[in-house]
Amino acid sequence: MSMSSLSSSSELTGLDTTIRLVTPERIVFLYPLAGPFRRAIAYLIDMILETALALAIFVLALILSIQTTLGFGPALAAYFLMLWGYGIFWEGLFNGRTPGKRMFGLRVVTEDGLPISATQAVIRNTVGAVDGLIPFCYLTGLASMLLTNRFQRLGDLAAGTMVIVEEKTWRPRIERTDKEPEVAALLPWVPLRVGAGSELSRALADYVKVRSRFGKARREEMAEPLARPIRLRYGLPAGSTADAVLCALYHRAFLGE
Amino acid sequence: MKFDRTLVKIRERSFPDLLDLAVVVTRKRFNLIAPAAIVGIVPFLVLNAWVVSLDDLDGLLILLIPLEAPWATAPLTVVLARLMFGEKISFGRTAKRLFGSLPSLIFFQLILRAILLLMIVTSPLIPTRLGFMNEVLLLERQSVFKSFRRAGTLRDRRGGDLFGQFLAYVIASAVFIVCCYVGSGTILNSIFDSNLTWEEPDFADLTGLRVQIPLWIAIGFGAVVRFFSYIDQRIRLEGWEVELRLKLAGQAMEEARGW
Repeated sequence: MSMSSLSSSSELTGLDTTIRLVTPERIVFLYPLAGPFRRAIAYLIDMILETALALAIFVLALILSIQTTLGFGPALAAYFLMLWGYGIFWEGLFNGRTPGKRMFGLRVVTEDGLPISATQAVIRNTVGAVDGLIPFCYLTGLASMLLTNRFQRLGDLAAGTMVIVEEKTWRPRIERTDKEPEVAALLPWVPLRVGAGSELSRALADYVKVRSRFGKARREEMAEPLARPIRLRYGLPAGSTADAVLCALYHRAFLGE
Repeated sequence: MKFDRTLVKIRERSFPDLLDLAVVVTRKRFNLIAPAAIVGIVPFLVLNAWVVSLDDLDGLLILLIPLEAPWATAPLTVVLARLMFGEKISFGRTAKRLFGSLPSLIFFQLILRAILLLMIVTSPLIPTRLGFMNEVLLLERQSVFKSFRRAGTLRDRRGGDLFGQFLAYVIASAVFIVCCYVGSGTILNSIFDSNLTWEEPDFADLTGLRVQIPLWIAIGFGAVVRFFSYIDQRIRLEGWEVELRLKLAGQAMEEARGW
């Protein structure tokens, strides 16, 4: 799959932290980008792990080289490999995820949204050393992330990669609304099988999930723009409350009883 | 309010997402945000430089900066609100809004804030109880008592979360200031002395520009984050995201019926 164009989603729906990729087949993918703050937390976890592992390997190599003529050599070599190889190993072998990134749902992908190759993992982590603590105390990486549209540090720019947030699949909890008398009274009007598309289903589920937070007047205000066409479509009584209309449709769409 | 015509996409966000969003907005609307921040911050930067120039008053900065922060970021808050809802931005309108809220600002952000700060034990009330006070006073313009109650209501159910976010931001700001101090020092050393060694800081550096500038950048950026946190809290409390989703689904149904 190759991507034909890339644009920020901001021009269409207001500014956001997502990037919009369009395939040649005109299929649109929205990727939530990981900015400096999300990445900093994952980086901190990785740094702690990396240091602990490097020290453990250093001590192990040191113990193994006791009573040999090798001295500190293998320990220092192992320490060096660990520090430079940590990111390359995890991102190259585990599809762009280090343990820190996995913990916070981040993944390194190419600028086209595809999985990164081993070469890209190597370039990203070696060039990316300039972005780190030495010599400029993260200033180069931070400046680069703030100035690029995809929050790319220098290592990302060199390898043609970016870091995205992998969002969890939306799975609504089913709520029982049919026990409310007003909703139960409306159910006979609504067909047993309602072909609600993904947008309508999401709108109904979101509404039912949060409606208990609001007073009656606010519920009516929120629900009316959708309740109006639903009343017309299913011939529901004009006097029915908007809240009850949405709850009845939700019941049919999600429970089908 | 037209939720589909706002500067940022209306949806509930996590704190890291809010921080990243603040970066995106600052970058995309830098031409409006930077001048608003500079207009508010520069007078206080100059004032602090003068205070520091007086003998033995360096320590006063610790007290001054928390007092100055809401005043320095007030123009930025007004500009962000106008940007958010697509209203026209002008110096006159911003100044009018600021002067309109001046009495309440003096009461909450100078007198009450100073009392809470000086009593030390009560200082945690500033990020908790007065956290969104600038937004309430400048954007909602209610009476003094209603403003206090409103600022409390805005933190309903998420007071602990918001205090945690404040602490996280303070830590992130401290790290940013240290990085700027060390990093800028290394850059200057590499240019003028041709070496890349880090220098050892001393107390006098805290009042120098290499600490003061990143400190005020962190305060200014914090105001952008706080504004979007205020918007996020209103999205949660007033159901903006769901309202927008229902409206769009309703529109789609009306259009389908029209065909």
